[in-house]
Amino acid sequence: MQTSPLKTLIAAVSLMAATHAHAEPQMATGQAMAWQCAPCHGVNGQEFSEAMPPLAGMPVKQFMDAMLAYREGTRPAVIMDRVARGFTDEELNAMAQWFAKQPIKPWEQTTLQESLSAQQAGAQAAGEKQ
Amino acid sequence: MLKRTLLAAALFSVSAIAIASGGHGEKPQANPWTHFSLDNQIRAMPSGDATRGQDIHSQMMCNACHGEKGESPSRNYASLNGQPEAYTIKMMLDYRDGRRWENYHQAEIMVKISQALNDQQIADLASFYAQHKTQPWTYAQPLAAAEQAPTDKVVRKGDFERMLTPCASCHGAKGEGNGVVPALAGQVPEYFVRTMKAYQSGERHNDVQKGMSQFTHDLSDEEIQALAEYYAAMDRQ
Amino acid sequence: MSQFAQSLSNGKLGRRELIKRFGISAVAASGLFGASKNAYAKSAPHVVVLGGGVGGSTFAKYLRFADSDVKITIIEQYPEYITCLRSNDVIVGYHTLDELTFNLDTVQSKYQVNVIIDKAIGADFDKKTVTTAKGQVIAYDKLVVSPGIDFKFEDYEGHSKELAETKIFHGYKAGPQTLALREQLLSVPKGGTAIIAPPQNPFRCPPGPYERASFFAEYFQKHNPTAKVIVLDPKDRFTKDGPFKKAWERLYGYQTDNSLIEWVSGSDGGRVLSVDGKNNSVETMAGTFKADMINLIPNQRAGKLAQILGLTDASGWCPIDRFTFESSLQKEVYVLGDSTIADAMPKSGYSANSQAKVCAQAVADTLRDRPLTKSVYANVCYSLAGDNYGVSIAAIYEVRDGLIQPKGKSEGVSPITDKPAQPILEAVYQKNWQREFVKDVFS
Ligand SMILES: Cc1cc2nc3c(=O)[nH]c(=O)nc-3n(C[C@H](O)[C@H](O)[C@H](O)COP(=O)(O)OP(=O)(O)OC[C@H]3O[C@@H](n4cnc5c(N)ncnc54)[C@H](O)[C@@H]3O)c2cc1C
Ligand code: HEC
Repeated sequence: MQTSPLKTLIAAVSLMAATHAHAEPQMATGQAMAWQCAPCHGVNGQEFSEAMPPLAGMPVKQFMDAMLAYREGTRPAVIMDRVARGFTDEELNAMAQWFAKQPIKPWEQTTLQESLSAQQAGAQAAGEKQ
Repeated sequence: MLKRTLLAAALFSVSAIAIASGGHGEKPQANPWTHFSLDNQIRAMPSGDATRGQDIHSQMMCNACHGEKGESPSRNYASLNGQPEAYTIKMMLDYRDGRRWENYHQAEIMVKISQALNDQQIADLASFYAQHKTQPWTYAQPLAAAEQAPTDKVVRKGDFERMLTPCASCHGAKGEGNGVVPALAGQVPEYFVRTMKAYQSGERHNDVQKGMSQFTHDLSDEEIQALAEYYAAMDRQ
Repeated sequence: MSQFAQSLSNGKLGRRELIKRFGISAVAASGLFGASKNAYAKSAPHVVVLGGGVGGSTFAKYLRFADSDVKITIIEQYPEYITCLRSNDVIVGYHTLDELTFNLDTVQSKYQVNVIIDKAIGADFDKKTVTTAKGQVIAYDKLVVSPGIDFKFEDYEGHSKELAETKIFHGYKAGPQTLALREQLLSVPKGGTAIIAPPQNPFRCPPGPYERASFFAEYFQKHNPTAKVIVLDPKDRFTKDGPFKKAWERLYGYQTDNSLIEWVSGSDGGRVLSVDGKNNSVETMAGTFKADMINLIPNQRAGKLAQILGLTDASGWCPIDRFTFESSLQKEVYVLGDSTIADAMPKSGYSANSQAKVCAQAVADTLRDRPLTKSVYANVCYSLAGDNYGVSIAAIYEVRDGLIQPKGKSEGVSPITDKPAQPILEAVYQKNWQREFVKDVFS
């Protein structure tokens, strides 16, 4: 599909609007939402020795199946049903893509550089430019 | 595939530094099993009822992690369906009494749940899981063609050079398990690898007289990974 | 860009100028020329964080995630941070204070954050500088303030800061206060009484007093079964009161004659009016209560530093922009955590951590002229009603109609079910959460 000049203009204007006021900002990034899970699932989901399951490197389908089941109440849970009910399909997918790219190793053994690359890969997978 | 191995390695490497937490809850001390004491203990258990077991499966929220009938919904939890009754009973007793404590924080859920159950309830659960046959794990990937033959050989014929008894000789031709020997068919591959690694390092040692751990030492990471995938996809039908 | 950053980028600001602006010790201690000089471009903006507690430390770490170049400095008054989280456990002996003690070493080394141990005492918002007790003047492009809470002792006749440090402890900032409460609890005589008096809303850690009451009851049950906890509350409801009271019934005989816990609501006159330190008694609307220990948790307001900096409004708390946590009273200054007015979000460590991450992203986006994205927050408060009995409240939040509100149908407390596993698992997860949480904040 070709982008018309008008569309480009509209896009540019709305981008400016978003920069300035809080008018209609874009959906939160998968990364920003995924960060919110860290106190339970470890920094970037990289906790591998706890009762709560790790999320880093989780295949997208397993993640989505789990979250949708929690949200719809078809998978019993202690806490995740409540958490999952806070997210739309699109938001869940953005987090799924991001978590799938996080390294499967404990946070303590991950360098900052390594993590920044992985986080960037996650953002790209979620279709977000960094 | 590399990822899977990494997951197991990750689970594993931290376990070495995970210390039993102070404060809340002390680790019970139980003597290691002998064949004799284990036999006696299993025989002394009441007989289970699968219908009651199903109820407990839901009441104790086992279904949150282990699925409706014991089939695990994710890489992070073990599948329980199709396990022989004696195996499930042994695991629950091992968690309860501190024999299965290979990684305290991860095992903590099972420790606390098993401590909240009595022998009858444990037997009922065991009966429930035994009633539902193993099935290929939902997310199993077919094993790469090149790995099929060598893996199949380890499973059925073992490896005389390395004194590896065929897995099937204890775990059954269809990975169905027998008595206190677990079923492997349909097991979650990450859990399989994690377990093998824990046996290898001695972190897990609730097997009777090293009955299992002795076979893990000579297996390579690649072989363990292939075995995990082989069994995850195994169909008993 | 600030003048300071600009002059840095132009290479105009020499070392001498820096020393003049930062003070000698600042330049040395902050490592501006030291280990971290390769970490950022000379033109990088400088973000200064006041308070290296939950909000401040999380912010610095996640700002590094959001921007690998920006310069970050934390100014924290104490070299060590003792978490309030699980400090109730210390009172009854499930944990030691050592296990709750953390520092900013990893944040400094792993995330290239300058850490200055000094007390912030003022700021010049026009010149964009902060002043410290040791006389340093530090320039910022963006300032972030997460100073915690302050107590309103004056709300109770006869109470004072001094009395709160010698006899009527609050235990609402972890440390000596926590140990003092432990000592008092251990010396409650057979059949004695402990009073816990929670504050008015809003206050830090809304379930804290009730978790504490539960722990006291559990302790008495084991060691002093004829003793009793009396909760004197100015309120008629409290967070998770359903699951808490159910737990008290199940565990401590709540609402029977032998109950280990008695809760006096605001309507029943539970509000404390005055304190008598000498007689160890409090006067409430319902009459005078004498006890062997009194744990009065005073009403609260934003941390002193927020007051000094003029970031509070008439309510005593800091109004903020709900999307970014930028102060509504001062541009380029952000406030996090307990000090803020965050609507439906409780004053918890989880909230402070959540807000810090959203704010870090917003600060990074603003500094780089990127469009802001929607703000999504989270909070989960886990409490123990007993060693193996957990209760929780959880929600994901968004900004709707100008307020931070629960998103979707996420908000909820632990269901009261007859499933024995529910509270057992919540207790396991509670402990798991605490270990992961402090890692997320400090490492
Ligand atoms: C008993 C108890 C139990 C709790 N349990 C939980 C729990 O289980 N879960 C949970 O989520 N929350 C819990 N909390 C709440 C949690 O501790 C707070 O909500 C959280 O610490 C708030 O973070 P903050 O950044 O706003 O403040 P703080 O963490 O208090 O950080 C403020 C920091 O600023 C520093 N500071 C202040 N003034 C200055 C100055 N002038 N110069 C330099 N530095 C300064 C302080 O030294 C401190 O380090 C509990 C609280 C209590 C009291
Ligand atoms: C308060 C702690 C907590 C928070 C916050 C939390 N989780 Fe969970 N999560 C759990 C627990 C506990 C489980 C196990 C299921 C249960 O009992 O609820 C779990 C399970 C999961 C699973 C299933 C994993 C598996 O292997 O099947 C996924 C996926 C998941 N969480 C994703 C998330 C995401 C995404 C977020 C952030 C938006 C999040 N969680 C926030 C505690 C939490």
